[in-house]
Amino acid sequence: MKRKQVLLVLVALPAAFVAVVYFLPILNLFATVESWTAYREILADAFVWEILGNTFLFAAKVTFAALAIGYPIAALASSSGGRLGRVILLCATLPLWTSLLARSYAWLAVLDRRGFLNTVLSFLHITDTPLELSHTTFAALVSSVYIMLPMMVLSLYAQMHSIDLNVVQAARTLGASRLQAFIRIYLPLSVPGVVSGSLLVFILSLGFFVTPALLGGPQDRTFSMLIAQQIDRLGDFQAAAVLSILLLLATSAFLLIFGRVVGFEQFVGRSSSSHVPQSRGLAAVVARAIAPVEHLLRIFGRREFWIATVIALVALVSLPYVVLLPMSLSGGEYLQFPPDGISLRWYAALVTDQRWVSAATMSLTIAVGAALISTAVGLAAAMGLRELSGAAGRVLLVLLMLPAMIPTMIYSIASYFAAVQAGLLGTRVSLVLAHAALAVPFVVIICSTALGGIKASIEQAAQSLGAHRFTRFYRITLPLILPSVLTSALVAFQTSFDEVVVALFLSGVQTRTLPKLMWQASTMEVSPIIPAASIAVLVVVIVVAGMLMGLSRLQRMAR
Amino acid sequence: MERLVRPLSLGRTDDEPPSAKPSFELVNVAKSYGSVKAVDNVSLTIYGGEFVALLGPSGSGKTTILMMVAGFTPLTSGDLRIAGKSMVGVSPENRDIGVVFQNYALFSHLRVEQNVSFPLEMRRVPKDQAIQRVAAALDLVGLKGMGRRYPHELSGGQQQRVALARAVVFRPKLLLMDEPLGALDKQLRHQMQHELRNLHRELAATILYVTHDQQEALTMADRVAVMRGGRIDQIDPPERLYREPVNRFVAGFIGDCNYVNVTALERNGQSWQVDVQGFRGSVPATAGNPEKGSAPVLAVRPHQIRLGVAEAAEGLAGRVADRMFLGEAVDYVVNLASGERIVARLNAAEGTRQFDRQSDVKVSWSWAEARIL
Repeated sequence: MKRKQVLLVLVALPAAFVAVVYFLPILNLFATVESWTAYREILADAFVWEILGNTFLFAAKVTFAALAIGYPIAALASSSGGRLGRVILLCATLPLWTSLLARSYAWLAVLDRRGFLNTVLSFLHITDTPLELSHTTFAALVSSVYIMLPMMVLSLYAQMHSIDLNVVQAARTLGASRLQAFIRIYLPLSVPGVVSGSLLVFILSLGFFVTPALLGGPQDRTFSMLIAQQIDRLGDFQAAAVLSILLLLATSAFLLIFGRVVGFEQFVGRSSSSHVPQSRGLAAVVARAIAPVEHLLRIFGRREFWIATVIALVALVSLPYVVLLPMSLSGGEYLQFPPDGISLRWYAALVTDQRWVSAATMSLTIAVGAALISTAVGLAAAMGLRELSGAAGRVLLVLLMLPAMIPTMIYSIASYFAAVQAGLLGTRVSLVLAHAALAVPFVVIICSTALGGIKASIEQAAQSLGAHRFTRFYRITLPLILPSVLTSALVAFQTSFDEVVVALFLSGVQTRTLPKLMWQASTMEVSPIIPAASIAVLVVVIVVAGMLMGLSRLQRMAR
Repeated sequence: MERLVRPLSLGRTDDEPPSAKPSFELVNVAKSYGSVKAVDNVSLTIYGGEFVALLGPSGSGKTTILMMVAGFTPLTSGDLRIAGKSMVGVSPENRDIGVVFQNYALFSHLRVEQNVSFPLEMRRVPKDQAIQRVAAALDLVGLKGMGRRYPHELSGGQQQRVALARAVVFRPKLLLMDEPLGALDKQLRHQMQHELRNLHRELAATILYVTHDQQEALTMADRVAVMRGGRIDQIDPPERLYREPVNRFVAGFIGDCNYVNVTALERNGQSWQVDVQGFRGSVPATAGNPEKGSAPVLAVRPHQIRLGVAEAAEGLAGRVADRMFLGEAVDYVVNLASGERIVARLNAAEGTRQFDRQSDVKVSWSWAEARIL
């Protein structure tokens, strides 16, 4: 097969997949709006603008808090190196591997009236009456920051890891104090990571739906919630389409900035075309400003202080999980801490109640299908991206990354309309395809990074020894990246297994998924069946991960 | 083993190509990246069983040539022939060229024996035969019994040998090596140099070897091509390269060299009549010619310089500015009256006359070994 034909398969097929399954429905949104009046009505509505403003404000708060918490964690992880660094990084990014719904419910378990925090506070006689912590802006913010923290830490870590710590030591030998060296040298060098992490988290936060809806109050309505409401309660398809377009345009502006300033290449581990200035001037000003009071700030220059801080933060990160498990074992009817007796009744309810059993089965089926498709598509795309250079490669990369960055609610609405028109609403096929499209970016990221780690000379060696393209792929390249391929399949599985926003509109009564049922149940009853289901979801993900890891180890042993 | 080892190559002298039959030819090969000429019209013939080293500083185009020969980099112009057959457009897997990569490029997920048998599998060599050949190849590189190991369980030197075994096991028409010893420490590098020479003789393999290490090139190669700026400045057997460099670049790249300004110069048949501030002699005219645009100089290697007491009759007056002990030799840095600086390398053996810093000396050299460049 000629190189051109191979390129066609590796590039055109994945491109066609995301184009048809993802971008076509989104473009179709524009066609759905029947008249300009619909636009005019929405744009004239002050309430819409207020919600949009709130959404931006909320995203900004989440970004700022995630940065403040994530920076010391990432800095310590990257400067420690060795085992400590790995452990810190693992703890901080562990939540990535667990269900978004489970994470949100976990915070509900911590912050609820009868939750962990109120129990502890009243036990210590700090408060008499339980604080109203859940369903507040505070709760929405805390849980949202928690969900975005891994993204922030990974972005920061990627940049900080490339900082040569010798330059900080050089600054010390030149007479800078620990703190001065940090502010004048380390901080400016880490700015590109701060910018890319903040932009990424901000863009992702613009689409928040599940977490603020579960934990926030009425005043914490996000734009995605407003869109959902149009269909859910009002049945106003026109308004939903117009609002989706509005959010799409607002997000696009920031995606453009992201593309220009940070570049999508960084996702696949390529040298990004970073145009971030390393604010040396600002650092000098800050350093000068604190110089007179530096002795007061000495604690910030101490490593022990930061290690303690990071340990506290990591403990906070694991808190929700610790709380979730006992609460799921409650014998009572309500969500409370400590649980009202210990029993497995809610787990029993999960496996006996026909609703939960069929939802779980449906989720498994769909997640397996979505994982298979997205892994095949994403792996091909990653191979194609490697062959494709220049502008075409950059465009393809952006197209492949966008499904993970555009607010899911937009795609949810878009795929809903498209499924209605195609007569696929409520079918398994539509859910599998939509979930696969959402998972493709993660597969591309993981597989591209793995492919980038293979030295060109390895494949050249195989070629010079006489291996043709396909032989090279399945004898050399695939075995080398197999762990990453399996990882990406797992991530794709989890993306689908955990997905609620698209499922909310796309799945029907016959195809209700587990997250959708959890979502619906939570709006009616906040019983321990929710934490039980969350734990069950966690267990499924962990079991699948274990199976894949075992599989790749078996594979290695067989060789 | 019996077929892996081919009959020993023809007896040959250093100056003659080992066989009349060209095994491999580069004909006016060029490679441009935009306006940059990485390789500029290079022609090179390698004869069957010959070991040719491409020597040059980084950026001189030697690796580009290697990648073009292997087939990973397309030619901008020119032709590339193996046994008279053009290789242009032939993909790397069909060229039948063995490549030893700089960092070995071993397949980390395959055992040593699987690495070595890989090219045989690609050629559908029957399994029993393949097993024999793999064993023979591993034996040849001194890795008998290591076949079951994984590359990461081997030392750097052993990994190097695996890469070598893998590249020769399918009896390629040509063996390419890209700085194969670069990652090894000095002692191991010397040992491997000897082994590579032996291997070359035993297999009668045709080898193109890329390196920036002049000592390595001189030790191992039948002929060395010195590259600069995408061109070959000179290609000759090591001794001729050393004794008769064609220009100052080659003279300086192959060993150290002093350049002395000449006061008067006259061509007299097969030799030059040279006058350096009154010190006169006759220098043989070789392939080297004075470079265009710069005044001709006398090139003298440090070990060809003689130092004598200040009262000696012949030579140029100078003063010892520095003295460096090198083990088997001592380097003297001498400032001449003209302001020029000369490095003399004297035997450090006992009984050889030693000079102190700041002592006055007479500098002379054997004219027959000096060159005009």
